[in-house]
Amino acid sequence: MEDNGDFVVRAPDPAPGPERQVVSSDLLDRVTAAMEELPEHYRVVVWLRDGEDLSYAEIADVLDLPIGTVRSRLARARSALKKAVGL
Amino acid sequence: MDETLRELVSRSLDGDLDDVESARLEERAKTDAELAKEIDAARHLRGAVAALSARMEPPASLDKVMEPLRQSAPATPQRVRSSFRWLGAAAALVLGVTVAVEVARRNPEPTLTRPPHARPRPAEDRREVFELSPLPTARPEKNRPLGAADHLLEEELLQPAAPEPPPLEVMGPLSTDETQAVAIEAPRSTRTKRVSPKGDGAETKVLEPLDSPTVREGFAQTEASAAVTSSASPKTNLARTDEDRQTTAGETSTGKTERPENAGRRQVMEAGIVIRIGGADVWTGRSVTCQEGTWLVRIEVRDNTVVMMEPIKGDAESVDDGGCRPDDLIGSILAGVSDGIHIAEIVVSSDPK
Repeated sequence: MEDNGDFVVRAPDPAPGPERQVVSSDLLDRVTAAMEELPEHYRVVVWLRDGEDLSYAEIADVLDLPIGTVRSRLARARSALKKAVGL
Repeated sequence: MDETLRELVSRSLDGDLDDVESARLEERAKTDAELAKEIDAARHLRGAVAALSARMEPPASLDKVMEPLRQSAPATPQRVRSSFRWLGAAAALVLGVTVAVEVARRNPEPTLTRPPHARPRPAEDRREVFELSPLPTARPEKNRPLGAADHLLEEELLQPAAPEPPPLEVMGPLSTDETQAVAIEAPRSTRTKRVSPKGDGAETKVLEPLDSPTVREGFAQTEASAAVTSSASPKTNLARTDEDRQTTAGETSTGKTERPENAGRRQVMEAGIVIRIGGADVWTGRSVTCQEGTWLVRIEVRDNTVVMMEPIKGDAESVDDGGCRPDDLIGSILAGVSDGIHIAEIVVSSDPK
């Protein structure tokens, strides 16, 4: 949903109740570029969690990984993404 | 920022922290500006990735790992990517509309909408008026085309009605030893002739009292007793004329098929037929073709005439050809047989005595 160049999105959780954020199109472009540069195993866990809204347990089941690995891998992926985006 | 704190921040975004961990992180974020900024940036980035999923192709490697997820979509539909849900919903909608349109096209139903040229019906004209026309077969009319069945019905209806039977003459009970002669009409059947016992040419019927020895004897006849009530020579009372026999043969020899149970039984041309009661021949005749054999029948005799004949057992049921059926022998005039029910033997052979 586009509104004056910005995207109004619903954050996939975490807190109780939906959370709305305004994400600029510039940020989206940067995130897109950063996602494409991420290693595949990082990109997958980020996508499953934030794009598909899977829980840690579901990601662990889908990827056949321990749930602790999912937690740590997701934290590293987000850190790398943040770094690539420049936040 | 160390690895552990970064993971706590990441987990806090996903609601994976318990209450204790969440409380500690919040307390620390109040005093640690860098941590607070990290949390805010991570939350912002997470929202951006969520928005990105709507316009970005998922990682190629996800095709393999997402397949089981899509298969289990009904169990966890909220987990399926929104774009997949929209795709499925659109496909289902298209399929549903296609089926509905096709069903409607093949099964048109009368529409309730009023045609545009039709005028609105007044309120008092709500009742439907049906005009009932007579059935095609109710009154056959010459000028109206009739169907095949109507044609048959028409022929039946146009046939003259059968004449009324003559009124029965009611007579009172007869006393002992009293006899009474009553004139009767000649039978319609051409098979039989009724001969008056008096030999005067008139067709009469001799009625005997109920307690007469002859009648009592007739009543006493049963299936087990085939008593002979008369031993008069049957040859002097030939029941059928040649014309009669030809008629009978013509009626029965056409269109008949041999039953399976007759297989193996010999067919006799110009068969001789003998009705035998108590060992005495009471009627002889011939027919065109009959199945050879002997069978028992129950006959009822009125005025020396066979008025009923039904098979009892044995060959009688299989003799159905060439005018030898029990029904074909009804009307035969027997020689000297009193009225009543008798057990008779019918013998069909090529050399009748």
